[in-house]
Amino acid sequence: METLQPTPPAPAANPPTGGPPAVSPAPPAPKRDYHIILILLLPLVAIVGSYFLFRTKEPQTTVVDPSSTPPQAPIATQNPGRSLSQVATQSAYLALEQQVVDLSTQISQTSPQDVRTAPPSLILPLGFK
Amino acid sequence: MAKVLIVLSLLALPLLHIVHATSEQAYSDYIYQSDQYRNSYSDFQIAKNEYLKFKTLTSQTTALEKTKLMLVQRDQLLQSYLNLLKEKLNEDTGLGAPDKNQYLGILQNELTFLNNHSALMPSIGSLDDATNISKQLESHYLVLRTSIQQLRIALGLGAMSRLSLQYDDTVQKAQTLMDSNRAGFPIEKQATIDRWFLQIGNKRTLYQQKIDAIAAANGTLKKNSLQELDDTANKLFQNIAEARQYLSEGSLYMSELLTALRYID
Repeated sequence: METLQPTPPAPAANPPTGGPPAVSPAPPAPKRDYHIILILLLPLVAIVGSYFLFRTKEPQTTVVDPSSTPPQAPIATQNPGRSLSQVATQSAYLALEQQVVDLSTQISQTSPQDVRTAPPSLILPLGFK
Repeated sequence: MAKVLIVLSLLALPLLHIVHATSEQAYSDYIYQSDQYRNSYSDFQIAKNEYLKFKTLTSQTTALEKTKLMLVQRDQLLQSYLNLLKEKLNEDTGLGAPDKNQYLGILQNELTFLNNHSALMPSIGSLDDATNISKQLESHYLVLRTSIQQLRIALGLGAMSRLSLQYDDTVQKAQTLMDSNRAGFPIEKQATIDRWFLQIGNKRTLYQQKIDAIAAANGTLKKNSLQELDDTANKLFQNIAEARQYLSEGSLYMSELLTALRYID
């Protein structure tokens, strides 16, 4: 008669083994849309680029040493390209120039009404009745 | 001969000063009379209020006294003011003799009225008398004020007339200068200069039109109320200012004309 050998209980879980774990197949990597990145980066590049571009075009300001000689004031020229007429040197022309100046002054200084001739302010009725 | 002329000129110098001093003296007198009137009117108001409040014989006597003083002072103030206008008119060199005589006549009429009115003051014996005599001035005051405004506007027109004479003299000299040197300028430049003369003349015409309209309106300055009169007078003064602006613009054109004459091309 054959004796029954007790069978060891089945392990509840597999024991950890020292070997490498089984590699499951990796999920497919997300496809990066480089076009979108480029579109996003392009304005940034444009801004930075324009900044440097315009910065270099700014006029270079020079600091003048205050102790140095100041620049000379521009000298008024008598329209160097034009030639003076004979009239311009005549005494009559110079007198006329002065007369026009005097006339302009007189016009600006003449008031339509003399404030000194403002009439008196009177209250006429006596008001006894 | 030259020495005689110099001596005569030196003798004439004080006369010029006297002419100017006349209106200055009249103005000082006007200011003085204004102060006197203000004081007398203040005293009159106090006495009048006292009388109206208490109606006593004493307050009535005081009120009559102060009223008489105020009425005398009021006439003196108006007379001093008309004298100021008269002196200003005499000194004016812009108005023509007919206009000046006409305005001096208006002025003399008003001075005569005030002299007659002042002559009534000693006859005031009661507050009723004072009220009646005051009413004579009140009823005439619109006429008096109209004359005053007419004279003030006339003085303004006289001042403008002086400017226009100076303006015409300047244009005349410029025209003479151009005429005697016309050949020295190219044809195109001559045309440019002639256009400046035309513009200067146009401004003078616009000025004259404005002045003529003001003079016509001033001659018929009759209004129904003091307010209406003063409003119209202010408008006429504004028109005088606009006329002056035409002369001002013309003088600017003269400066441009001189610049054009300065250069050949």
